[in-house]
Amino acid sequence: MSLAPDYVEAVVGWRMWYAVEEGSAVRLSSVIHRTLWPRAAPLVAACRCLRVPLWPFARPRHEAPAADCRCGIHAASIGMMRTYLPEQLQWTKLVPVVGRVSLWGVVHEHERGWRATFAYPESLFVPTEELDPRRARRVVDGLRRYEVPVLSVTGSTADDVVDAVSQFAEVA
Amino acid sequence: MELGQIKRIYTVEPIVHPVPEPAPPADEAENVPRPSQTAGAGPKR
Repeated sequence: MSLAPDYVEAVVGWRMWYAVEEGSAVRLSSVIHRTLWPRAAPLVAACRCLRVPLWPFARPRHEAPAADCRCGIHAASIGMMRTYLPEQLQWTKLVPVVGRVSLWGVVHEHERGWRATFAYPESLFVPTEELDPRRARRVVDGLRRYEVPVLSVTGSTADDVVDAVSQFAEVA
Repeated sequence: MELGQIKRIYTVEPIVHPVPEPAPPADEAENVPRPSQTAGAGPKR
């Protein structure tokens, strides 16, 4: 059996995060599971599907992503990502961030996106139009600690933001 | 995300690793002498 990879270049898709401010630090957080993304290290997928130990049909523990599960780190086309942005971007404690993400390891390619073992942001776009300017600068500067390009984009609705980042959509 | 049906499964091992090298510490970036370079140069009693 060959152990050679099928591809030697990361898959790049789009996804959404929240920027979480922790004191002076700013971290990316997944939207669904609220996983904090590490800096300078890949996020490693782990299955978090609900397991009820006594339930006879519960899935056993498994590596992520698994074909018969929804686990793994998700990314999609820019159009698919659009459906996850709120219509009106209302700023609360969590600031939405959209961006491109590199995926590698075992990759499951779906009709509208991917699930993978490893991931790291490739570029980040922060809608800052409705943020206080000082907070916007703090978030953008804080996200630069991921050592990837971070850009402010304008727009107060999901469509505005997707239009603004679409010019960077070399993939999707 | 509702990603639809699986089309195919493959392995990816990037030659160019997607995780960037961390930036050098601020003191190196700004060429500020490290403590070891200034040993003995503390305040005089």
